Amino acid sequence: MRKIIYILVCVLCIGLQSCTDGIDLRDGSERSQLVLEAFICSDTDQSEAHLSTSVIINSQNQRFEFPTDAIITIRDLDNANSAVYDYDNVRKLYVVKDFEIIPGNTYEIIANWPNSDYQEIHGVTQVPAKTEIEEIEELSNTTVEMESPEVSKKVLDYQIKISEPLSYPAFYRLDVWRKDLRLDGENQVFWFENKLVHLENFKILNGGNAVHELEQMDGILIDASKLENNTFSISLESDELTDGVNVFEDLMFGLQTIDSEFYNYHLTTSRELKAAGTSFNQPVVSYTNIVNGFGFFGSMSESIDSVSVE
Amino acid sequence: MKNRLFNIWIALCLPFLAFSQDITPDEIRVDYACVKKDLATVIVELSKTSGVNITFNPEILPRNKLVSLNAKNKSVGTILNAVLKDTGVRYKIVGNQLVLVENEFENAEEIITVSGYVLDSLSGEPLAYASVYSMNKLEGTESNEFGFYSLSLPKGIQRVYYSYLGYKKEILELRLKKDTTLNAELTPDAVLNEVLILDSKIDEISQDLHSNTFLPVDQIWSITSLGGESDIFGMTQMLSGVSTGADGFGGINVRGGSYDQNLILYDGIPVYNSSHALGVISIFNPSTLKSAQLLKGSFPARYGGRLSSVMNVLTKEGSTRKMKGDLSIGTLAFRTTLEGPLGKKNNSSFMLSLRRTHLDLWLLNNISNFIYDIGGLDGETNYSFYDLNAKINFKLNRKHKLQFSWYSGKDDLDNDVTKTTPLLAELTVQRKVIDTEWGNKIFSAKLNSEINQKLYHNLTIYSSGFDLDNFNLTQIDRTLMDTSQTRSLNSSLFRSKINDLGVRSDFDFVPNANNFWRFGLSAVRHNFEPGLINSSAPNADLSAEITIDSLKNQLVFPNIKGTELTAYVENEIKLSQNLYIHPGLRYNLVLGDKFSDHSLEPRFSVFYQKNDVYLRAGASRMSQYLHLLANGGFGLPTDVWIPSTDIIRPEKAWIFSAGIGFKLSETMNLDFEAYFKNFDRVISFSEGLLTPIDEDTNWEQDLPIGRGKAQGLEINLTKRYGQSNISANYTLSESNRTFPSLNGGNTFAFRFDRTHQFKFGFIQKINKNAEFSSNWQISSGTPVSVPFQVITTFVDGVPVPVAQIEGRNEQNLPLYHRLDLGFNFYNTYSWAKQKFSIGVYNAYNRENPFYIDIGTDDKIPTDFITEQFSILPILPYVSYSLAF
Repeated sequence: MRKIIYILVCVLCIGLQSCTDGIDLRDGSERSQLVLEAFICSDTDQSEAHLSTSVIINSQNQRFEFPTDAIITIRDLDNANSAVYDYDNVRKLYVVKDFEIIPGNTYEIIANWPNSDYQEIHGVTQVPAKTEIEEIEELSNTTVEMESPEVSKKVLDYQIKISEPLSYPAFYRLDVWRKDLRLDGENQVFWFENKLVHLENFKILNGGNAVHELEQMDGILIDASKLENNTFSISLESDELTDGVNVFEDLMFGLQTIDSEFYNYHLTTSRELKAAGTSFNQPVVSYTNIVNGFGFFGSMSESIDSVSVE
Repeated sequence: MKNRLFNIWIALCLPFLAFSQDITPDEIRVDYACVKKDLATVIVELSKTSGVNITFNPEILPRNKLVSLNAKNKSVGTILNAVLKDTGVRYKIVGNQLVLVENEFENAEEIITVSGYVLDSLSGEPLAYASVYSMNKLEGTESNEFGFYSLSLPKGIQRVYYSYLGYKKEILELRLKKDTTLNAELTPDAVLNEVLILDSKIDEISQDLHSNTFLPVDQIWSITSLGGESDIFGMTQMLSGVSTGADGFGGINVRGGSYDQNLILYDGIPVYNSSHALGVISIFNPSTLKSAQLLKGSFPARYGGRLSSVMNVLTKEGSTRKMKGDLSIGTLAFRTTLEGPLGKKNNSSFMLSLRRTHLDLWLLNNISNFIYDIGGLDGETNYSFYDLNAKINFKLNRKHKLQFSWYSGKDDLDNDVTKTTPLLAELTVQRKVIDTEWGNKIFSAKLNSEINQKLYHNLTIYSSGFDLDNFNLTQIDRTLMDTSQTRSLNSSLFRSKINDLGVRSDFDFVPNANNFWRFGLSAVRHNFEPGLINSSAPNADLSAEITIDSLKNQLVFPNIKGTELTAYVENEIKLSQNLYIHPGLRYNLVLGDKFSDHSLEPRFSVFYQKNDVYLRAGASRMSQYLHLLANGGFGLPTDVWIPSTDIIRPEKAWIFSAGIGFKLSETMNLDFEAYFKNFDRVISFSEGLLTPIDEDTNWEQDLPIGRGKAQGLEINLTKRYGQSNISANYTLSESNRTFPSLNGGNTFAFRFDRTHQFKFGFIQKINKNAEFSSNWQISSGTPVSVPFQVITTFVDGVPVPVAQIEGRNEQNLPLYHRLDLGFNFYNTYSWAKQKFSIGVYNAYNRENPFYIDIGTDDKIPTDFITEQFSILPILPYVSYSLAF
C-alpha cells in the first residue's frame, strides 16, 4: 500500500511540475545594431544624441556598448548646412552646437562607428511648426497639510486649451516645471528655473485616449486628432514644501509640437516600460525610424507659457 | 386456398411490425437489369440475385405487365417498389424474407401525421435529433431537442425508421388510417459501445446542411482523457477546424474565430465560461450529457449572438423508469450521479450530479510544497473545481411537460511562491501571488407543449451568471550591500461579473414532410460589472502591501445594462429527394444605456446528394453584442466580458462555406470543406499594460477596434472496419486581425492561427470487455510576439533595457504534437456495470510550449534569454467507475 502511494505521489509530482526551458526562435540572421536616440528642437541651438548598441537575446556574453568615438553627422536637406556631433565626456552623450534648426525643414542624421562591425545608420525628420497654448485655466488649487508642522503639498488642477493645429496628424509633449523661490538666511532671493519635475502624481483628468503619461521622461504625450475641442485637463501634485524655505509662485508649461517619430517612439517605449515586470500585458511593437538600427530621430518646436500660483 | 390462408395469416399477424436490426432484407443492395420481362419473372430473378427470399402468390400480380429496368447498387426494397408501382401489390418483411401482399391503400392520396417522442427504452429519456424517416427516405425528419417528432406520410402501410447514434435502429411498420401519436423506444447498443464516429455520417442528411458534427456522447467513455476525466471538449478538439492553445488551454477556437465567438449552450442557455482548468476541461459533467453538436459552417436562424460557432449541449432529464446512478473516481476528480422517477406514475423524474476535484483535499498542497522545495522556492499552489447539476421534470399531462434545471460550478486557484536570489551586491526576494475564483450559475424553467401534432412549443425563462475575481501580485524586496531595503509592488485585479435574465418562446411547426418551420422570440436583460485595475509602487516601504481588498476599494465597477430582443424564422425545405435548402432570417435589436443597434441576419444553406456524393454550401450573417477582452488568449481567468456600448459597437461577420463529400464505401467517408469568414468591429486590449476598466476611466476609448479574416480547407476521412474505428482530418487555415492602433496598423496573425493541423483518432475493440484508444495530433505552433534584441533607453540619464518586438505574432512557437493512449476494461454484473481505465496523456512527454517569456540567465544574470514555459508533461491516469 505504501509503495502504491509513493508511486502515485511521484506520478502526480511529474504531472504537476511545470517545465521551463530555454528556447531560441531565431533564424540566425540577427545582428547587433546601433541604437540612436536623438531629437532636434527649433528653439535651441544645441542638439543631443545618445548612441549605444543592441544586444541579441540568447547570445552569450553580449553587452551594451556606448561608443564614444562614433561619427554622427546632421544635415539640413533643404540647404547645404551640416554639422558633426561632439562627444561630451561629462554628460556621456553627443552634442552639436550652433546648428540652426528651422521649422518646416527636413533633417537627416547619420551615425557610424568606425572600426566596428556595425552598419551605418540614418534617420530623417521634418521639424514641425510650433503650436501655442491658447489658455490655461486653473480648476482648483488645494493645499494639503502634512504630518510635519509647516510642511504642506500643493494639488493644482488645470484645463489647457491648445490652438488648432495647422494640419493633422499633430502631436505634442507637455512638460510642466516650476520656478523656485528660495530664501536664504540673509533674505536673498534666488530664482531657479528647474526643469526637473518636482510635481508628483501628474494625473490626467480628462482627455480620453488622446493623452498618455510617459514612463521614461517627464511630461505627457498628446495626439491632437483625438482631443475634443483641443482641450484636456491635468492634475499636478507638488513635493513637500516647507514654509519659508521653498515655495513656488509660477508654473511653466512647455508645449512641444513634436513629429510623429518622436511621438511613436516614446509612446511605444513608455508602454513597454510600464508593462515590464507585470504579470499580464499585451505585446508592444517597437517603433523606429532609424534605418539599419534602432531608436529614433525626431524633432520639435516649443512654446512656453506660465501661470502664477497663489 | 392454401395461398389465401397463407396471405390471410400474414395479413392478420402483421398489422404492426417492429424490427430492431441493423439491416432488413429489403435494404440489401444489388445490381439488376432486365428488358421487357414479365413481373413474376423479374421478382424471381431479383430474389436469386439478391439472395433474399421473396414469397408471393402469382395470382395477385397483374398479368401482361412487362418490366424494363437497369438498377445499379439499389436496395431490393427500392427495386420492388418501382416494379410494383400501380399494381395494387406491396411487399412486407417477415423475418428474413419478403412477402408480396395486396395493397389496400394503393393510390391513397391522403396525408397522415405520425407524431410522438423518440425515447430511450431503458430510461425513458427523450432522444434529441433522432432521425425519423420512411423506408425510401422520401419523407424524413428529426426529433427536436425535447425528443418530439412529427412526420407526415401518405395513408397506408408505411415503414418508419428511427435511428440514433449509439442505439439500435428501430423499424416500425404502421397501418396509417388517421393521425397517430406514437412514441418510439430505441435500445442502447447492448454490448460495448459502438465504434466511435468522430465526424458526421453521410446518411444523416439534416446535420450535413450546416457542417454540423454530432459528438457521440455515448462514446465519450471510450476516448483517452486528461486525468481520467472524459470530456466533451477533448472530443471537440479532435475535430477539423478546431484549434486551441497548448494542451487545450485557451478554450476552443473554431475556424479562425476567437474563444468568445463560440455560442456555448447548456440546455439552450448561453454560458459565458464553459471550462475548468483554464480551458482544458469543460464544465459539462460527462455523466449528465445527453447530446452535443458543434455547428461551424452555416447557422440556422434560431442561433445567434456569437460569430463563429455553436456548441449545443443537452443534458439528461433523468430516468422515468427506474433509479440509476454512477460513481466514478479518477486521477483528477470524483463524480457521482443519481437519477430516477419521482412518484409512482413514472411521469416525472429527477437528476442530481456532482463532480469535484479531490487532489486539493489531501495531496495538492503537499505536492506543490515538495516541488517548490526541489526548485529552491518556497510556496504552495492549490486548485479545485466543482460542478453541481440538478434537474426535475414533471409531465403535467399528455401534452405538457415542466422542467426546472440548476447548475452551479466554480474554480478556485491559489498560488503563493517566493524565490530568494542572493547576488553579489544584493539579496532579492521575489514573491508572486495569484488568487483567483471564477464560476457560473444557471437556472431555467421550461414549459413544453404539444399544441397539436404538427406544432410544438417551448417557453423558457432563465438566468445565467458568471463571476470572476482574479488578483495577481508581484512583490520584489531588495536588500543592498549598504543594507538599504526597497520593495517594489506590481499588482492587478481582473473582475468580470455578468447576470443575464432571459425569456424565450420557440415553435416547431412541421406542416408536411417537405417543410420544418422554426420560429420564435426572445428577450435577454444583461447586467455587466467589468473591472480591471493595475497598481504599482516601485519604491515602497517594506511594510507596504497591496491586497485584493485594497484594489477592490480603489475600483469603481462600471455597471452596464443592456437588453437584447430577437425574432427569427427558418424553414428546412426538401425540394426533392436529393435537394434541401434551409433559409432563415434573424432580427436582433440591442438597447444599451446610451445606444441602440439592430441587425438583420439572413441565413441560407443548401444540400444536394446524388448517389454517394453530396454537396453542401452556406452563408450566414452573424452579430455579437458581447465581447471578451482576452489577455493574450490564454483562456486565463484574466479575460473580461464587456457589453457593447455607444463606442464599442456589436461585432459583425459574414461566414461562407462550401463542401463536397464522398461515401467511398459502406465503411469509409471522405469530405472536403472550405470556409471564409470576415469579422468586423472585433476588439482587443491596447499594447502594453492592460487598460484599466473603471467607472472613472475612459476605458472604452482605449480599446482598439478592428477587423479580421479567416479562411481554410478541411479534409476529413473516417473509416470503420470491423471492430476498429479510424478518423483522420487535416486543416489548412489562415486567420488574421487588423487594428489601426496595433502593430503599426499592419495585419497580424490571430493568436491561435495554426496553419497546419493533422489529427488522428483510433479505437479498437480488443474483446467483449476491453478496448484500446489513442489520439495523435500535430499542428503548427501558435503565433507569438518574441523580441530578438534588447536596446537601452535613457531614463534620468540612466540606460534602461527595452525589448524590441519588430512585429506582432510574427514568429511561431515550435510544433505542437501529442500522443494519448488508453485502455478501458469493463465488467458487467446483474446489478451494475464497472469500468476501469488506465492511460497516459502526452505519452512521449512532449514539452509543448505554452508561452515564451524573456528572462535573464541564472548563471550569467546580464545575459537575456527566452524561456519556453510548458504545462503538461506525460501524465498517466487511472479511473474507476461504477454504473448501477
